Amino acid sequence: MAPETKSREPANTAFKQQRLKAWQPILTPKTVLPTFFIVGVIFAPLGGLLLWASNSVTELSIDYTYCDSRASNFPNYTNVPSEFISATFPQVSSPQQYMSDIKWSREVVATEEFKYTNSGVWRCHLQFRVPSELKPPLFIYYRLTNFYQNHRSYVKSFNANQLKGLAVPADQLKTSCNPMAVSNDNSSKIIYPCGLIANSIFNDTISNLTLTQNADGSKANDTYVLVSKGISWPSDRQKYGPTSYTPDQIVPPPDWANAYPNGTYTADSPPPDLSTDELFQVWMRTAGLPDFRKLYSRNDTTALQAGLYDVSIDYRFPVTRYGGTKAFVLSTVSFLGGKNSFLGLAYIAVGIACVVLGAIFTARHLYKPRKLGDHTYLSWNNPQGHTNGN
Amino acid sequence: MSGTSGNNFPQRQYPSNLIDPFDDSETVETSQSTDNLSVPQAAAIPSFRPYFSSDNTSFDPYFNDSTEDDEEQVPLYSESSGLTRQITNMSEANLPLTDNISPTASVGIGEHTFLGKTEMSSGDDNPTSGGERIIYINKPNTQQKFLHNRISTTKYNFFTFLPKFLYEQFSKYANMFFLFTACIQQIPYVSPTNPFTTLGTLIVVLTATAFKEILEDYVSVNQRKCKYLDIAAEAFILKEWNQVNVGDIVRVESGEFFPADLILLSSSEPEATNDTAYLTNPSKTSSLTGYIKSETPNNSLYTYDGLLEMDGQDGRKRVPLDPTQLLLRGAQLRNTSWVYVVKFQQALLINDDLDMYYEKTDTPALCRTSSLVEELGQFKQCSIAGLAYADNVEEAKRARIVDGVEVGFHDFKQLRENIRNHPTGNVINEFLSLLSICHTVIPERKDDNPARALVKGASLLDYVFTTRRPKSVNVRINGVDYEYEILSICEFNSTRKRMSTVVRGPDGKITLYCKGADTVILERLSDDNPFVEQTLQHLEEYATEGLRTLCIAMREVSEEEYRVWSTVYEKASTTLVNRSEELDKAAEMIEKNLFLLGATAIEDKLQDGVPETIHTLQQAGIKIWVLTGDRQETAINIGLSCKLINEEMSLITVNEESHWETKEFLEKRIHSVKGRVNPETEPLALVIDGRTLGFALEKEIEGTFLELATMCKAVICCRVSPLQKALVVKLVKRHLKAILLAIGDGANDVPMIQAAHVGVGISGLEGMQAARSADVSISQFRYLKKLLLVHGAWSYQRLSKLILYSFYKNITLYMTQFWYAFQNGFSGQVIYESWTITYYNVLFTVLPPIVMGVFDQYVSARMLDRYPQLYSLGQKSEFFNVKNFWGWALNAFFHSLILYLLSIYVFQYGLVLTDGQLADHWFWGTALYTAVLATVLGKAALITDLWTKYTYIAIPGSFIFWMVFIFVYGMVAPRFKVSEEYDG
Repeated sequence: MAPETKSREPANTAFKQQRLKAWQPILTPKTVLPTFFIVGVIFAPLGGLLLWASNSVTELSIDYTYCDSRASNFPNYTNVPSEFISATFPQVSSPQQYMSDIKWSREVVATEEFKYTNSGVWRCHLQFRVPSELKPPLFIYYRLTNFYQNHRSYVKSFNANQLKGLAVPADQLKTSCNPMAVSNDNSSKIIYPCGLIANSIFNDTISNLTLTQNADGSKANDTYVLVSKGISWPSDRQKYGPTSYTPDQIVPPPDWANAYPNGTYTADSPPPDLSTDELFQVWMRTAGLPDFRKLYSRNDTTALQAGLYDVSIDYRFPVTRYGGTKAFVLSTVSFLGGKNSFLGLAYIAVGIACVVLGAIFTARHLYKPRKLGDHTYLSWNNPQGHTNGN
Repeated sequence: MSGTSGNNFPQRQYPSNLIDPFDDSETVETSQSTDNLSVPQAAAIPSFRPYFSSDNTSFDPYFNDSTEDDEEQVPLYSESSGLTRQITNMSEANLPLTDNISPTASVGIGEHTFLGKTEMSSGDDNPTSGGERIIYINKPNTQQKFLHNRISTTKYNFFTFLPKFLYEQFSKYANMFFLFTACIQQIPYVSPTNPFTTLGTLIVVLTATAFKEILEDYVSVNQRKCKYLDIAAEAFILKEWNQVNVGDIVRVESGEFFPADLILLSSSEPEATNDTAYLTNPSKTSSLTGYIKSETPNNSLYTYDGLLEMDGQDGRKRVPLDPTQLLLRGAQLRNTSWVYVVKFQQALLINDDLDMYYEKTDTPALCRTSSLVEELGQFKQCSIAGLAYADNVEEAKRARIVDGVEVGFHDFKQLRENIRNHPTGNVINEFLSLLSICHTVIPERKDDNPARALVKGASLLDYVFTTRRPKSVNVRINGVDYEYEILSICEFNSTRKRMSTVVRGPDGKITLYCKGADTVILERLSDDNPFVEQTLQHLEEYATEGLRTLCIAMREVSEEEYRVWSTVYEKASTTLVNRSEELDKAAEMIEKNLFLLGATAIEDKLQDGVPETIHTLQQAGIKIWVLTGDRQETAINIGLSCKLINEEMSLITVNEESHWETKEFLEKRIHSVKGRVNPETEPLALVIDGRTLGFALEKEIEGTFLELATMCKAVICCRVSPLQKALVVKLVKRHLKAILLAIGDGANDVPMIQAAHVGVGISGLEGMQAARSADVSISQFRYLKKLLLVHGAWSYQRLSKLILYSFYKNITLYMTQFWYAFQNGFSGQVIYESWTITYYNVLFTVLPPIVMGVFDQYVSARMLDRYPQLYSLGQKSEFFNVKNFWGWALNAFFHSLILYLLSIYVFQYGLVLTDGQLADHWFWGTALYTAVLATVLGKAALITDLWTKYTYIAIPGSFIFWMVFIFVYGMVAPRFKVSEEYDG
C-alpha cells in the first residue's frame, strides 16, 4: 500500500495562526480627545431638546391626601398648602398668583359605589386655574407614593385565567392568588377577581372638570368630559373577559364589599365585566417603583379652555395608614411623552462633563505631550519603575 | 492509512467506548489466497482485560489516534510497547509508563494474524496452576466459562441507564448546582423567578447529553467484522467481532482495529516477527495446535506474561509471551508515517485552574521537524583499545607520543588502516562488529532510535548492518555478507543501563557483546583488561566536550556455559511472575568478566536555538533548572554551551558521599552566600550529582537544598534518575509558590513531566513518550520560547480578562437587583423578566468573554517575542490579583448603581409615554436590562485590545441580537404563555 503521507502541518489560516485581520484600537490623545468633544457636542444639544420637550408639558399635581382633614367644609374653599402642589404651566407669568388660586374643600356624600354602607364618604373638591388653553390630548392621573405595588407577594397575587374569564376552581387559585383566593367566612367562596392586586384597587372617583369661571373672570358652568377609555395598554384589554362564574359561586374581594349588597354578587349587582373596566386593567399592570402614577381618564379631542376649574374626588382609598400620599395630576404630553426633565438634564450634564474633560486633557496634552511608543517608558528601561523586577 | 491529523493533541477523559469518530481508515484489500506466503499471522485474545469490559473512564479508548506510531515496534523495548495505563503510584520499575495517551499498537506495514485468547476459568483437565489460564489454539475451548467476544463497552443497559446516567451527570458540580437552583425555584414562595428557567435549561442540557450517551453506547463495536481463520475452510473469512472465540486465529490488516486482545503470531513486517513466524499460510496455521498459558486477567495494560506452547514440526516448542506480542482490543493496526507534526497546544494553567483554551499556532520551521533524524546525535569519536579516534581531527590534536604515552586523536582513516595492520586490529574488528550487531535497530525504519547513530557510525567504517531477522542479523563487512545468529538479547532498561547480545558468529563461536553506561560496564570487567586506563581517560575527555558516551565490551562464551545459561534464561523468560526481574538476574549471570573494547562518543547536537531560548527565558524571569542523566562534566559543558551558566558565575559543585556531609556542605554554603556583601553581583550556579541529590532530597535536608538552589541563578542536577527528576519537581512544587513547567524529551522525563504543573514534551529525538504524557508537546526546544512568551502570556492575559470580565458583568447585572431590594420592601421581587435573566449569561453576554478568551492579543506576538520582560507581568500576577479583582468588582458596583439610579430617575412616578399611558414594571425592567447590556458590552469593547471579525459579532452583535430578540420575544412569548411577566 502506498504510504499516504498526510502532512500534519497546521493549516496556515489566519484563524489558526492568530493572524485574523483585526483592528487594534489604541487609545491615544488623537482619538480620545475628539471623542470627548464629539460626545459633548452631541449630548448637550440632545439634552437641551429633551429638556425643552419636558418643559413644554403642562402638568399640575395636587396632593389631596389630607383633604379629608385639612380642607374646609364645602362650599368654603381654603388654599391648598403649597407643599402639596407641583405645577408647571409654561405660560404662567405669576406663579404666586397662580398658586393662590389652588384651593380645596370637603363634604360628606353618599355615593353610588358605596351605597350599601351606611356611612357616607368624603368628597374632595379641588379648584385650580388653567392659565391658557391646553391642547388635547389631556390626561388625568392619580399618583400614589409609598405604595409597594412591586412587592413580590403582591405582584404575583392574581390569576390570569380567572381574569380572562375562565371559571377557575378554588384549589387552583390558592397558590396564585394567595392570600386572597377564597373568602374568609365559612362559605369559602371564590373571590372574584382574586388576589391582592385586585383587592387593593384605587377606588377614589375623579369627576370631570367643571369650568366655573372663564379666563376673563366671568362665571361659567361648562363640563370638560374625560373618559376612562383608552387608558389601558391595548394589549392589556385582551387579557380580560367577562367571567363565566355564576354570581353565587363568587364573592367580591374584601375591600370591594361596600359596593355590593351584603358584600356579595347578585343578579342585580353582578360582578364587573373586567374586559371593559380599563381602570381595573391599569391597576393590574403593576408599577415597578413604590412612587408611581396611573392614568385615570383622558380627553383626546377637546382643548381645555383657560379659566378656573373644579374637580371633585370621592375620597375612599386610604393612604395615610401606610404612610403614603395620593395626588391628582392633570397633564398634557409632548412628542417625547410626559414631563421628565431628568433625562434632559442628565444628557446635558454628561455633555458638559465630556467637553470639560476634553478641554482639560487637551490642555494637558498640549502643555506636556508624551511621545507614543517611547521605549524609555518600559519599566525595565527605567530604573525608577524597575522596583520589583529581578 | 488514515489521516487523523486534526486530532493529534493529547486526549483526555473520553467515554470508554471504542468508536473512533475520526476513523476514516481504509482497509487495503489484499489477496487472501492461501498460498500467499507473505501473509503472516498472529493470534487473537478476546476481551480478557477488564479495562475494556467495564465502564471505567480512566482508560482512553482512542487507541488508533496515533500520533507517532514509530514507538510501537513490537518486538523491541518492552517499555515502548505503547500499552498504557493510568499510574498514580509510580515505582521506579514502571517509570517509562505514559499517562493518558493514545498510542497505536502498531505492528507496521501489512497484515498480521493473531491468536485469540480470553478470560477463562481453570479447566479441570488442564495443567493450570494458580494465577494462570490455559487457552487452546484453533480448538474450541469448551471447558471455559467465557467464550464469547461480546464485550460490553456499553456503559448502560435499559434498566441501569437512568440511575447511572443521572448519577454521573449530577456528580458534576455544575449540574448539581443547577439542580439545586431549579429545586429552590420550584418553591413558589421562595423564588421570585419563573420556576422553569433553570429547570428547563437543565432538562434541555441533560436530554442532549443523554441522547449523545445513548447514541455512543448503542453503536456497538460487537458488529464490526474481522477476518478469522475457519479451520474447515482453511481460509480467512469475515466474522463479526462478537463471534470471535477464544483460541481463534484472526488476521488483521493495516488500518483495522484489533477485535480482541490478541497474541501476535506473525506479521508481514520482518521486524514484527517472533518464533512463530513460519506460520505464514492458513493451511499451516489451521493445523497449528498447542496452547497458551496466560496470566489471569488484570488491569495492568503494561505488563503481560504468558507462554505459548506449540506442537511444531520439530516437536513441542515453548515461546515466552510478553507485552510486545500482546495487542489489545480496540487498538488499530496501522501503517506508520514519519511525518512529525508540531503541536502547540496553548494550555497554560494559570493560578486558577479554570479553563483551557488551545489553538494551534504558527510553526514556521515545520519542515525542519521532519528532518530531525538528521540532527540526531552523530557518531563523532571513539576510543578503541586505548586509542582515540575521531572523524575529523584538527592538526593540533593529532596523535603524538608525549612522554611515552600516546595523546591526541587518530582520524577514521587511520582507523580503517588499523583494522588491517595495527596490533589492535582484532579489537577494532570486534568493536565495529558489536556496533553493527548489538542493538535493536531495524534497518527499514527511519526512526530515531539512539542506537542508530552507532549503527550508522559503524556503517561508515564498512560494517554495514543490513537485515534483521527474528533469529539473526546480517552484516556486510567490507562488502562481504556475514550472518550472525542472535541467541538472545538482554534488553536495555533504566536499571540495567546496558544491553547485551549473545550471538553465534559466522565462525560458530558464541560471543557476548555488551554496551552500556561506563559505571555498569566497568564493574563487570575481568581482571585482565589492558585498555581500561586509557579508555577512562578518553571518557573523561569526551564528557568534558559534552559528548554522550557508551562503553563497549565483549566476552567469548563457551558452548557449555551458554547451554547452562540459556536454560536459566529460557526459564526466566517464560516465567509468569516477576519476569523482568528474573530476566535481569539471568542477564547478570552472563554479563561478567567482560573485556573492554573501548568507548563511543556521540555528539548530541543541541537543537537550534537552545541557547537563545534559554537566555530569553532567563530574561523573562524564568528560573531554569537542568535535570540530566549525563555525567557532571557533560552537563556543565552543555550548561555552558546553552548559556545557562557562564564563566562569570561561581559554581557550587556538590558531590558528597553521605547524608551528613551533604547537610553540612549545604548549610555551610548557604551561610557563606548569605554572608556575602552584595549577593547580586556574583551570580551563582549549583551543580549537584545524582547521588548527593538523593541525600539532599531526604526530608531533613530538602529545605536547605531548596533554599540554596533558589539563591542560584542556575541549577544543574546531573546523573539524575527519572524518579529523582520527579522528586525534584515535586519538592519545588511543594515548597515554592511558583508555577512549575517541566520540559523533556525522553521516556525518563515522563515522571517529571507528569509531576509538574505544566508538562511539556519534546517529540522527536527520543521518541514520543515524553510528548504523549505532556500537557503540551512541541518538536523543538526553542518553540518553548514562543509557547511561553507568546502563548503563555496571551493565554494568561486572556484568561484573566475573561474571568474578571465575567465577574464584572454578573455583578453589574445582579447589583441592580440588589439596589432594587431597597425599593420593593426587600421582598425579593426581580426587576427583570425571568427568562431574560436566564439568557443573560447564555445568550446576550456569552460571546464577548469567549471572543476575548480566544482572540484577544494585548500585545502582538512580535512584541512579546522582542521583550521577554513582558512575561514577568504574568509572574507578578499583574493581570489577575486581588487588587485587580476588587477593582473590577468596584467598577461593577459603581456601574450598577449609576444604571439603577439613572433608571429610577428616568422612570420616576412612572414614565408617561407619548399616548399618555404609563410604563409598567416590566417596561422599566427591560429598559434597565438594555442599559445594563449596553454598559457591559461597552465595557467589553473598551477592554478588547484586538478587534477581529468575531469581536464585531460578539460585541455589537450581541446587542443587536438582544434588540431583535426582545422585539420578537415580546410579541411571541405571551402567546405561548412562556412568560407571565411579559404578558401584554
